[in-house]
Amino acid sequence: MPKHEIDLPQGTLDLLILRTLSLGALHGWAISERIHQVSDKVLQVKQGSLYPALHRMERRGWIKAKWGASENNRRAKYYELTRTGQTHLEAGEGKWKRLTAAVGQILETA
Amino acid sequence: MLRDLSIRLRALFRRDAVESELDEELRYHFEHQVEKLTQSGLPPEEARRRALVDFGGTEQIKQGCREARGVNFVETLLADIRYGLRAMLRNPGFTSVAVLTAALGIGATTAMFSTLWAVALRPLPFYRPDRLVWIDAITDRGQRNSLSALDYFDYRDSATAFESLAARSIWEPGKVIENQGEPERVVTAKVSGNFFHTLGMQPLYGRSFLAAEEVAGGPHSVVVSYSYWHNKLGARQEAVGTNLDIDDSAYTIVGVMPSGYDYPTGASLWLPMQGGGDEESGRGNNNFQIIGRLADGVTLEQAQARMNSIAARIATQNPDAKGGWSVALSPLAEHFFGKVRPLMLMLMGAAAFLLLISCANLSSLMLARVISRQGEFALRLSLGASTWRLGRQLLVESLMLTTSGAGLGLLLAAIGIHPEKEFAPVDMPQLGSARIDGHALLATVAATALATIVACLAPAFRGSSPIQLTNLHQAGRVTESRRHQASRRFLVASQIALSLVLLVAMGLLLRSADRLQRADSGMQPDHLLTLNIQLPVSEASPQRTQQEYEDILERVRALPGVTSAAGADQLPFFGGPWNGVYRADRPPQNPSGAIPATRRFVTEDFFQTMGIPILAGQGFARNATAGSLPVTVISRSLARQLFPDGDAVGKSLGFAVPLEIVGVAGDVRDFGPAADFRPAFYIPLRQLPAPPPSMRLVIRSADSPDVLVPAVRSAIREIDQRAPLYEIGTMDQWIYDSTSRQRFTSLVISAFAGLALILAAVSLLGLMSYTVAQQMHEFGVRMALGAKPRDILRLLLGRGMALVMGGTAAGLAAAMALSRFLRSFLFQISPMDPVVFLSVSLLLILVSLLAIYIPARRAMRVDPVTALRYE
Repeated sequence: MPKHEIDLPQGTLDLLILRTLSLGALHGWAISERIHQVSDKVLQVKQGSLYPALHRMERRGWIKAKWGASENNRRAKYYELTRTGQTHLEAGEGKWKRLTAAVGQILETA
Repeated sequence: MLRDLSIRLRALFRRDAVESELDEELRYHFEHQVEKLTQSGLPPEEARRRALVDFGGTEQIKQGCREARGVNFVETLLADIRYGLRAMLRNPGFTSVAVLTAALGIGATTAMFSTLWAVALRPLPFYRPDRLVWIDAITDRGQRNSLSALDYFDYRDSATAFESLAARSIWEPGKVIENQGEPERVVTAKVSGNFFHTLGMQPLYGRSFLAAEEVAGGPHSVVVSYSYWHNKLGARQEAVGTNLDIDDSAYTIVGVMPSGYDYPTGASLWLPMQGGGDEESGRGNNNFQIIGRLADGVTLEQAQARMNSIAARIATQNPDAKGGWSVALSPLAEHFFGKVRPLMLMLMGAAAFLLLISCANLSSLMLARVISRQGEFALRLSLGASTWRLGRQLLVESLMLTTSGAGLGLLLAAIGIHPEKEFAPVDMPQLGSARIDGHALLATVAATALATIVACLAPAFRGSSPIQLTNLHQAGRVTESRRHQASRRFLVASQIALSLVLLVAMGLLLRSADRLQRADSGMQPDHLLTLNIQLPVSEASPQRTQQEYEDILERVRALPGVTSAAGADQLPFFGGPWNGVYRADRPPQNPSGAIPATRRFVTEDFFQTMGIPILAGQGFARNATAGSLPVTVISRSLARQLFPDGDAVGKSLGFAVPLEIVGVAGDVRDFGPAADFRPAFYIPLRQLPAPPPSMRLVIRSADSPDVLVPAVRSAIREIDQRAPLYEIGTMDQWIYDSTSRQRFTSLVISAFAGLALILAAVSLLGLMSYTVAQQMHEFGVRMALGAKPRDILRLLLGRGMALVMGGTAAGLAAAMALSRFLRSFLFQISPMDPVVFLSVSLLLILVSLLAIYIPARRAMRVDPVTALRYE
């Protein structure tokens, strides 16, 4: 299963997770799956990065966790976006777009 | 923030719940992954295996999550402490040396700081002492002086810069109070009516003086000290309002001061100035000192400026007594502490040196420790510990060592403060109140923080943190990099340098104390008993008192064991009043042209009894009386100044009346053993119109003078039953007491220097033992190739001594730069005294040789076969 995986720049993972959660509460495995699919299997978030990131953002209050029943009726830990997280996501998206636009411009013209 | 805290707290206190949730979360993920792989067609076993590989280390993910939750700074700290405790217990040798080292440095700092605080820093025990000002007069010769009562009244009535301006006598004759039939002399001070008010002190019972009590002829009232009230008046509150017979007159006790109030120091009674007494009359009678409380918002400079103009006015109005005089204001605390502060700061500096040495020692110990634990660190690193975590471990371990050291140090300080008080200088009674209190604890905390930082510094800061050079390959065999070796050598050398500085200070002070003890006092102080006797003034007519003194001396002389006895108004060593004198044939143009000389009234036997030689002419004849030609004996230094090129005997000395010089006596140190010889002149007591109010008797005995005391006392009582006798002691004891400050200083410094030497030697010994252990193999090879033990010894001595010599050279340079700060504490010895520098260097080198030789002996005895296996 060769994959063209790309290392994520610092801070980007948080943004991806927040974006993924902005559609609704998900548990950890679903988050990583969603990112994998949406990125056309380019991005594969490792558990070693995903869970520490989730716990860190929970502590910061960007997301909150609650235990709920999963599709197959098992207990799973769901994460959902908080208001602070929402604000953070918007700011992050804006910053990201400006950055990629600027980088793109330089790469095309320079 | 609240959420952050609650998550952290939950992580800490609901640790199990958090951990099991984490487990569950990760297991859920894992199972989902397996399920997904199975659905994609993999056999269950293979799916599981692949998911596991994918997952990586579960433990690492968990660790990542724990850290992400901010998990538990406290928990890892506790783990660090547990770990550190185990490490400390595993190595009791290292631990005890390190703890003891820290304890010595921290303990010395704590003890010295509590002393410094008690003696020279603590706020004065008055209300808002920072607003109190001491006012000195400056004479036309530029010397500090006291003022007359009349001057005080002028300042008090015109001063605007002060809320109040008070005065106190500098000398007031002791008062005689009969207590259960035995007359006692009670130390008394005369103060202005507003004195206590100015200091902001209220009497415990009763009141302070009223304005009506301050005027001439006012009622006789007295304020007594707490201890007098407690010990002599039965501690009854009703004592206030009763009468006290002072010098045979009745005084009403109006107030009792609270316990702990002691100013002017030592006084038991305070009498109001009443503007009528002898000591209060005349501009030239400078028996008073002024203390003021600054008015709100007035600075010291402003007050000085306003007082200057009053001083100028007094000077123009009284040109004879006060012409050219001015005033100088200083904070009262300065007056109290100014003199002892340099000494105490010097001692504090010495303690700081000891602390630095112990820090360096600790640092070098920690460095050795870290190196020997390289393997352990490498293992922890490879198991996933972060370098930050290892650094923190180091910090925690040093902190544990230094805080244990601080605990032990506090104990040492609390114990060490007792002998320190035991040897406290007689003129530093405040030292008795030194104790380990909050201020001392602050010093402890500061010293501990310094020790901790320095202890971590060498391992962490030498650019070679253990982490960087560590790898598992090396871990089995402990090696020491050259840089580490160099840092340790540097640390040991600096300890040697620092301890040499303390040793030089010790040498200088000991030599100076020795000189002081042997200094020629100008008399023969051995076998001399002295005592003070005060005949009640109001009772006796002058002639009768004079006769009574004569009779007493006669009776004492007749006692068995007494070789001679004499009297004087003041004895050498106790200071005394001075007067301006001159050659009668060359009177000076103005008063400042006269030579200030100590004046003593003495009996005929004085010179013989004291052992002061008569160098030319003769002593006083027995037949001198108030009516005969006034005569004097002058000291050699006065004779030299007045008659540089001729015989003084037979000439005339200019004084109140011209005195014929009948003899020249040897010089005496009038103001204590460390003071210079000053000019002095002596006048026969018999020629005075009236005897002085008190007299010092000096009695030379054949045997020990102490045993004479009861006999002398009863001999005096046969003549006078009521005269108080006080300050009874031998001259040797007075001299010994007068050098107590020097003795105290050299004692403290010697203790510090001794400890410093031990620390440095132990540190050197540790380094050399380590070197030997490291190179056992090499020595074995050398021996196998034919080297003699002598060669090994030479090798090790060469290495060790290179370091010792470097340290010694640096220490000598530092001592040369610093020893001049000792100058004011030294007596007849240069701060650069070569004997001291040479001998303490030798001492240090000898001790170092021993510290090198002990481990070297082990290397010399090594069996090549064993050593070669030593790997």
